[in-house]
Amino acid sequence: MSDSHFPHSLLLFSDSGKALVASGQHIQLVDTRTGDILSSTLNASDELKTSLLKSGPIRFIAVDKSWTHLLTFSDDKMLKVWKAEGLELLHERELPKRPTSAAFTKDGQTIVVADKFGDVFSYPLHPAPLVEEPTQPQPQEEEKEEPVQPAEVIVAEPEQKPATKGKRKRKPKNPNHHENPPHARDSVESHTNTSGGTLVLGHTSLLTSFLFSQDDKYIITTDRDEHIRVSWYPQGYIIESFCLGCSRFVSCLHIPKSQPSVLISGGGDPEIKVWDWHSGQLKHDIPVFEHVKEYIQVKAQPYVRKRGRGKILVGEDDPMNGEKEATEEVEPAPAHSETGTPAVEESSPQEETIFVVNKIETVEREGKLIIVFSVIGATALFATPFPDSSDSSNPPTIHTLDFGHPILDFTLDADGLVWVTIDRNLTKGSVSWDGKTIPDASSSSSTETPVKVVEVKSDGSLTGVTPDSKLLNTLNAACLVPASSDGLSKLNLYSSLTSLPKNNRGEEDGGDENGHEGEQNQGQKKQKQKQQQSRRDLGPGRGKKEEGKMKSKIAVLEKKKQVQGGGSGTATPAEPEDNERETKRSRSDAGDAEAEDVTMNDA
Amino acid sequence: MPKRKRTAAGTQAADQTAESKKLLPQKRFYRQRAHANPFSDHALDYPKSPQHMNWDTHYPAFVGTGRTPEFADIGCGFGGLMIALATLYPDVLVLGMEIRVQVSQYVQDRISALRTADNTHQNVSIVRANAMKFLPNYFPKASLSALFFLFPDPHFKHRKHKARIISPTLLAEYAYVLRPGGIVYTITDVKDLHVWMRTHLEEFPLFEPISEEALREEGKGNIVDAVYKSTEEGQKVERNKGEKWLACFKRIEVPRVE
Repeated sequence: MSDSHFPHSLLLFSDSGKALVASGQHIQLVDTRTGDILSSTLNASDELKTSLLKSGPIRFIAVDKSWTHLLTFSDDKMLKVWKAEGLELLHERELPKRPTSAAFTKDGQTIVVADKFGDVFSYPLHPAPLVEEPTQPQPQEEEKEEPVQPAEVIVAEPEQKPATKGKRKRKPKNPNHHENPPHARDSVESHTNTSGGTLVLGHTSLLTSFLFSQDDKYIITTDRDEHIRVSWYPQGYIIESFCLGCSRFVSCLHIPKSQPSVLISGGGDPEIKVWDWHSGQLKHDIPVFEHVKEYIQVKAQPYVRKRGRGKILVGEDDPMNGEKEATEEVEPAPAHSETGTPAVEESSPQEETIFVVNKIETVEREGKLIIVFSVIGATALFATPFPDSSDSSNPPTIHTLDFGHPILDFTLDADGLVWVTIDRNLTKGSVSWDGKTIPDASSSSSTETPVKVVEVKSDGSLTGVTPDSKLLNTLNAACLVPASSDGLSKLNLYSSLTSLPKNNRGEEDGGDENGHEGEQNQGQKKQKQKQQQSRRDLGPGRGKKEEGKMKSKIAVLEKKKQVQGGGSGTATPAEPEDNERETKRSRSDAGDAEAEDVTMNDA
Repeated sequence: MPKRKRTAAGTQAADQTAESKKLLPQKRFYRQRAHANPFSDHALDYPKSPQHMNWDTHYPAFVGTGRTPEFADIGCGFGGLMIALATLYPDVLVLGMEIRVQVSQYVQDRISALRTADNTHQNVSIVRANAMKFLPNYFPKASLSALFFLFPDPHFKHRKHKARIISPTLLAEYAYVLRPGGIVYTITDVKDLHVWMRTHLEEFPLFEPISEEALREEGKGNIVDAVYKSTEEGQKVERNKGEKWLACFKRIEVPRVE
């Protein structure tokens, strides 16, 4: 790639004239008026820089309300807390699982973190001082939420900070999760809690995002299994409501400042959804996908299963993780369902357009609320007027502004201008199942500026502007962080395209031991990696089983006919069921579900 | 515990006539390994929300009554408890949830047979579901009066404890679907699991323990008896002369902490 700079992956503005920008593993603080770079981790000590490099690209930044502290995380489990002024790394804590999202409470004294396992923990801003020296791996933890805080490294000054080992040190430090942990089977510890956090709540699904209501009294969490949950805060165990109705993962949430009872959500569903979050009621569906899809230039490669199931990526401690890193088409699989060989599948990867809303914001223009959103891998920014309850029948207008490169992040400034960062190293590409970005042959990097400014009109239309702004100049020049091609290849900016969709077309749950259960649940592709199993299923054993099941079923049907005088109405519903069972070899899950319904129906 | 992998056949409901016995499915055709990974993306069919759930197909005899399930048996296995509750509470809809395909099919076929043979059990049904993920997709807030966790998978290894059906985080969802006053019934033959479930339920702010005696006084003795005796696992434990530990809890309400 000719362009050897990191794109700006995250951009944030304060109310008080500061901007934070993340590029690769670095963050920089810029004065929005003068355009001066106030601090930069590029100027940090070598030690800190090594540590940052090891942690990987900055994935998330949250700043407290007063912009006194900020937190970041990267690709490891470390939660880094910084003093905003001077970008001084205060300390880092090891979290039990990889974090996905975090926020400060209003007072800035508590940090709340959501993770990949589905839990939300809260932590005091600063770790409590270590009272007892944690002596090596605890032989036996009898306590349940064990308060040992082994992973905190308190650093007075970043200059001499040795909190570098990041990834490496957690292995010995966190004995709780490893293969043969010194845990008694009668332990009642339900959650590992590496840094003395308070468990607020948990889903049984990767948490993609969360936010607080404006009064901080509710926490709204959302997961990869279509849930949006509204819980009290800090009493997260009390669930106020669920906003249900999504059919795919939810990836981002937004509450408009002017309408604190409204929640806007986006994810893999073709609509952006507007809720009354307190009651969980869906207020509006804004169909956007049809307008957006042509701009999605980063596609997802289909998942190719190479090794044994589940073994591919299993993290050392996160079972959820391993299974979800695989791709899955959002739409039912296209072609080769029946009897293609695995080789065929591997050689004809069909890239899919996966829709993932990345970020939603609202802008107020002449009293009208405009929803602005970005989509992962899409080259355009989108805007649409907030739906009016009176004319919900009209299809919404989706305004677009195309930049020719995928949008990474956007943020609003005090004047309501939208600042957009783009990935100018890429015009087109795809993402492999493990999250790697693979540029398309036709993809080219360009000399476009990495930051664009957009004006939103009251009708929702978007216009590119070039304000005479020192900040813009800085972001487009002085803030650029040189990147090696290795550094760029590790960015994986589009990995959610393959990690968020479900991976359930592979073989199923545990049925393997007994034959066809796994098989009948297989999605339309992929089923034949388990050829041995199929063979077994085709064997006489399978037939016997099915026969045995059918025998009593037929008896039931006959009896039913008898009882109801042979009415055809009773007999017919069984036919599709039998067919389903017979054609199980086509493993249509839907078919199975249907059969399920029919059974209940004809009873 | 290799025992768990095989569920003994031949514990068919005893009160069946010879004829209706013929209709009943036989367990040996529906065997499946006892464990399922609750974290993986199973190919499941579940409603987007409780409003999307059509109970009419599950309880055709109750169409038009507006009734929705009030008892939920989480991990109902081969359905013994539901079959027992069906006749004890003929007006209460009972829903079983089971993650294993084969087992849930068995229960379906079983219910179907019972309905056909005797026109009973109209008030019980089953869904194949992962209750750890999708319970709120089926049940609205405060819609249930009883939740059953009978002989759940003990997930013995510490590493697997997080897959247990009772956990501090999941209890919030159970409290959500239970109405205040509703009862959680747990029973197991594994002492460690009993301690685990009891501890977490006791520590959970929205549940308070309720003794077996108190439940009997409330007139729920028949439920308690069914919890002890009606499940296939429970009968197996009895045959093996194992011990059973019961722990029950009542859903309570707490005020907001300011």
